[in-house]
Amino acid sequence: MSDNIEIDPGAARESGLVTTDSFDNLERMSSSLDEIKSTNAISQSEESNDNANIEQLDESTNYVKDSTEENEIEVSREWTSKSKHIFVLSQAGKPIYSRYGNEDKLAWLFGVMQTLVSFVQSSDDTIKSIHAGDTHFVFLIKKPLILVAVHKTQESEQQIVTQLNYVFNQITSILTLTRLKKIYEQRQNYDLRRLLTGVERLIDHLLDFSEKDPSFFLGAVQCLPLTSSVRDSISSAIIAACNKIKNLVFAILLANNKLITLVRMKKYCLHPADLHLIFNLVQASESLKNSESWTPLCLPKFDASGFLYGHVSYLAEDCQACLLLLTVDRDVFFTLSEAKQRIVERLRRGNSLEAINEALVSSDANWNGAGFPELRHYIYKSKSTAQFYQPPIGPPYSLRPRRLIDVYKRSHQRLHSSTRPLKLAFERSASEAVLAWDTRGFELYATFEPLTSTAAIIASVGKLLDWVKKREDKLFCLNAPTF
Amino acid sequence: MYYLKLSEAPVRFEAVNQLTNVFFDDSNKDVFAVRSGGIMGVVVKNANAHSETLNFRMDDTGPVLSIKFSPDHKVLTVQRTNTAVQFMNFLCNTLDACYTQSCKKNSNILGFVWSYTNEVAFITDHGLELYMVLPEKKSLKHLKTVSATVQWFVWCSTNKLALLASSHGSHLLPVFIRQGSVIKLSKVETEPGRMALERDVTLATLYGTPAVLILRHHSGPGTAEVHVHTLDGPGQAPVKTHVLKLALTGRFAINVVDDMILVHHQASRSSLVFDVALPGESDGTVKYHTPVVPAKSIKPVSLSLPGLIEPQTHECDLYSPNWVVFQPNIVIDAKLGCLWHISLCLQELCSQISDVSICTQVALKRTNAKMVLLQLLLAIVMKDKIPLDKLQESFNHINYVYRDWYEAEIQSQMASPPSAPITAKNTTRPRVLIDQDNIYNDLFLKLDPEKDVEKMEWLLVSYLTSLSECNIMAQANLNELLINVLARQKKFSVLQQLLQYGVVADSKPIACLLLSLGNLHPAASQLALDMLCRIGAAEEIQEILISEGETVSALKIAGSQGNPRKFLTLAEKSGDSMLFHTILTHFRNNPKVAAMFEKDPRLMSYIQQYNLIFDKK
Repeated sequence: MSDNIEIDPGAARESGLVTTDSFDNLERMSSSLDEIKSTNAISQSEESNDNANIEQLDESTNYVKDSTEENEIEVSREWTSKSKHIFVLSQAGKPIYSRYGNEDKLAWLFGVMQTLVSFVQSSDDTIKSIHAGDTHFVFLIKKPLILVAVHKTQESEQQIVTQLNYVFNQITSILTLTRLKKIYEQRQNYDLRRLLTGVERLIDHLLDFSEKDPSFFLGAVQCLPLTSSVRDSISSAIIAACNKIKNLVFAILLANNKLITLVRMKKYCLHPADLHLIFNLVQASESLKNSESWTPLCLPKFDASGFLYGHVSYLAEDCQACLLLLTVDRDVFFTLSEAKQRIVERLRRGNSLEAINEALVSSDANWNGAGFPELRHYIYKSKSTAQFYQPPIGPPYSLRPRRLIDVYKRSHQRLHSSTRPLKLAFERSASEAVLAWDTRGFELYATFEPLTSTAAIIASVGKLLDWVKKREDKLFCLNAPTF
Repeated sequence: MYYLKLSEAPVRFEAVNQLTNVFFDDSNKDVFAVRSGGIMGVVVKNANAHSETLNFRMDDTGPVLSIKFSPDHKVLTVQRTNTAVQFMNFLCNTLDACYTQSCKKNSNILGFVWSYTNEVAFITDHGLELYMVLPEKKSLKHLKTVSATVQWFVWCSTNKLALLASSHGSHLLPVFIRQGSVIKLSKVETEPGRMALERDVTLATLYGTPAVLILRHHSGPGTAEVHVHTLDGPGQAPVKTHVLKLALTGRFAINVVDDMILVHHQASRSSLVFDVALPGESDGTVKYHTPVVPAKSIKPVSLSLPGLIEPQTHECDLYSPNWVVFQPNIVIDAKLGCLWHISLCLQELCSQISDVSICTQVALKRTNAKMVLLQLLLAIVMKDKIPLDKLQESFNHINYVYRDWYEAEIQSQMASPPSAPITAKNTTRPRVLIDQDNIYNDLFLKLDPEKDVEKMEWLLVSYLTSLSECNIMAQANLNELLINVLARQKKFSVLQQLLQYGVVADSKPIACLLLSLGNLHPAASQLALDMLCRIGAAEEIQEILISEGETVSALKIAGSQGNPRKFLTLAEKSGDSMLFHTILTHFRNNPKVAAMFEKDPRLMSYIQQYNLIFDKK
C-alpha cells in the first residue's frame, strides 16, 4: 500500500478527509462532539436548550404554508415529465418534501408511498426499489423518515440511494439526528415542515448540485490548483491565527466549490460527504457574501447528535474565497471574527489572495496543449486523499455538461457495481470513447474522441498519468495541516 | 407408349428376288441392288437419304460375293472368288479399268474392308493383308501382312477395328488398321473354350470407347446376357466391364443408339434398353445392368405402297426374320426393300422411368435431351408432392456435368505462359448442359411465386446445396430469388442463418437487396452491412451509414479517405454540436488534413463556425 502511495499521483500518507467510500449510510455515529467538549470542559446546557426549542416551535403551528396556490394542478404534464422526483415523508406518511410541486397537494401520493413501505415491512422485509419499464422507484428508509426517488434516468440504484442519503444528511445537518428522532418519539404525526423552513431551498440546491458535480458520486472533493508553497503559506496563516483558539475543530477555505485548504484539530477528520454539505450551504446561501455569519451546523458523518457552530465569511471583496471556522463553542463569534481578520491580513501580506484569484480565473485550459489532442476530458481521483481533479469542461461538452456527468456516472457504476465490479471499463460509442480504470491508488475516468484508436488511447492514458504525477502537488492538497 | 421408333421415311430399294441380290456396305452405309450379277445394272442407295443414287452396269464375271465402294466412291471393289478382288475405277457413273488383286497363295479371302481412302485390307483365313490402291496405275501395292488364324471376322468402320475370330469364336483378336500399319491388341478375355458365333458379336462405340459386345446364351430359361468388353484397358486392351442381363432366351439383335444399347428380342417382339453409364450392381470389375425400362416393342410403322386405285398402307412386320441389323442403328428388311434408322423417343422413355435421379442420368447423356429433361423436371416440381431427395440427386447429376464443363471452360480461359504451346481447345460441350440460367428460367420462373413459394424455397435450397457441393458459385439471380422467397414468407431467421453460414455468397447486388428488406426486418440492413464489409465495399458502407445518420461510424469506415468537406457539411446540417466537434477534431488531429485547412478557405469557414458555436458559452 505504501508503495502505491509513492507511485500514484495525488497520493498522500495523511489526509484531512475521511477516505471511506461514500455508499455507507449513517448508522454508526461517532460522538466526536462529546469527546471534544469533555476534553475541553465546556459548560453543557445544550440538552435543555434543545428541548425548549421544540416546545417553542410546537406552539407556532399556524406557520403552515400559505395555500394561495390551491388552483395549481398537482399532477400536470410538466410535473410528470420531470426525470427525477424526490420525496421525503415521515413514517406516518406525512409529507415533508417534494422536489417538484406542492407536498400538500400530493398528500395522497405520500400516502401511497407510506402504504407500500409499511406493507412490505409488515412481512419483516424492506422495500428497496420498484422497476416499471423506464421508471424506477427507489426507497430509502432512514428512521424516522422515508425517502423516495422516482426517476427515469440511467443512474443506478446505488447512485440514487447515495443521493437520497445526501438529502437525509441535509435534513439532519439542520436538526441533528438526535433531535429528529426525539421529535417523532414524542409525536408520530408531527409535521416536520415547520422546522424546515428555508431548508427546502437547500435540498433543492443539493439535488441539482449533486446531479451536476462529479464529487458526489466519486465521494471526493476537488481542490483549487495552487502551487504547494502558496497552499502551505495559506495553511500556516490559518494555523498562526487560530492555534490559540480552543475547541476550533476545522478551518475550511474554499472557493468556487473547490477546496483551498482544510486545517483540522488533531485526530479529527472531515468526511467528504460533510464537506459537500458545507459546499452546498455556501453555494446556496447568497446572503453569506454580504456579511459574516454565525450558523449552527450538524455534520452527520462527523457527529450526528449535535451541532458545530460555524463562522462563515468571504475573505474579502476582492477575493471570493469563503472561510469557515467550525467550533463546538456556541458563543465565540467575535473571537473567530478577529481570527478571520488576522488570517486575511496575513494572506494579503503573503500575496496569497492574488494567487487564489489567479487560480480562480485561469481556467487551466492549457492542459489540452499538453499533447492530448484526442482527450476530451478526464477525472482523476486519488483514493488515499479522497480528492479528485478534473480540467474545466471544454467542447463539445461545454454546451451540455450534464451529458458528460452522465457518461461518468455510468462508467463509475461499471466500476462500483455491487454485483459485478470491474477494474477496467472501456466503452466506445458514436459520441465518445470512455475509459474507466480502478486501481488500488486511484480511479481514472477519461473521455476521448470517438474515432481515437485503442492504442492511442492506451498511450494517452499513460502520458496523462505522468502529467498528473508531475503536477500533483499543485492539483491536490497533499498535506493535512493541524492546529 | 413406345420409346423406340423407326425412321418415318425408310430408304427403299429393290427387294431381294431371283434376279436381284442386295448387299449392304456398313462402312459407307451403301445399299447395293445388283441385278443379274451387274449386267442388268447396279443401283446404289445411301442410307443417308440425301445423297445421290448411283446407277451403273458392270460385267458379270461370276456371282458377286461382296461389293463395296472406296470411302470416296471413286473405286468400286467386287469380290467374286475366294482368292481375288476386282477393282474398278468409277467415274461419272461408268466403270473403267478393271484390275484384280489376289491374296497370298493357299489363302482364302474371308472378306475385305476399306480401311483408308486408298487402302484396302483383305482378311484371309491366314491373316490380314494390307494393300495400297493406286487407281492411276491400275495396280495395288502390298503394304503389310499380319498372320493369324481366322475363321470369321467382324469389322467396325468407325473405329477401323477388326475382330478376328478363330477356334470357333473362342479366340477373339482385335486388330486396329491404321494408315499403312496394323496394330494387334491383346485378345478378348473370355471364359476358356467358350465359343461364339459371328452373329452374336457386335462391334460398337460406347461413349467414345470402342467396345466388343458378345451375346452369351446359357442353358436354362431367361439367362441370356450381353458381355460388354470395352477397349479401355492398358494399351487399349479389351476389358470385360459390363454385363447386360437380358432375362430372355432366343434370337437377339443389337443396335447402339445414342450410346444406349438396344437389344431386340425376336420371340417376344420387344426391345430392351440398356445404358452402361447408369449405376449397377458391381463385383469390382464388372457392372451388371438391368434394362432401364421394361421391354417394349418398337413403334409400329407402315409403308404406303402405290396400289392400283389408291395407295395402300402396308403394316410392316416388326422383328421379322427378314430383318438384318447393322451398326450402329440400321435395320434392313431385305424382303420388303426397306432400310430404317432406329431412334429413341426420349420423352416417352424418360416418362417410363419412375426414379427422377435415374431418369436425369439417362437424359443427361442423350443428344438433344435438354428441353426434354427440363420439361420433365418442371412436371415433377409441379406435382403436389415432390420427391425432394431424388430431386436433390437429380440436381447433383446435372451439376456434375455442369461443373466439369465449367472447370474446363475456366481452364481454357486461363492465361497460359507465352512459352506454353498453344493447345487446341478441346472443351467439347456436353450433350446436355443445364446451367443456372436454365434452371432459373425453365424451372423457378415457371412456378407460381405466390402459391408455390414454399416449394420454391425447398427447391432453391436443394439446388443451391447441390451447386455448393460441386463448388460452383451460385448466380446472383438465384440468390436473389431465394432471399425474396424467404422474405415473402417472413423467414428471416432462416435468411440470417443462410447468410451467416455463407450459403448465399456475398455480393453487392445481394447486399442492396438486403438493404431494401430493412424496412421489413431491421436486422436485414445489418446483414447487408456485414456482407459489404466482407467484400470490402467501404464506399457503400460509408454511404449507407451516412444515410442512416451514423456519421461518425461512416467516418470511421472512411478512415483517411474521408472527404473533410462532405463530412463537415453533414455534421453542420445535423445541428448536433457534439457531432460537429467530433468530425472537426478528427480532421484537425490529422496533420495532413490540418494542412489542407490552412489552405482552403471553405474549410476554414468550418473552424470559424466551430468557434462561434463553442466560444459563445
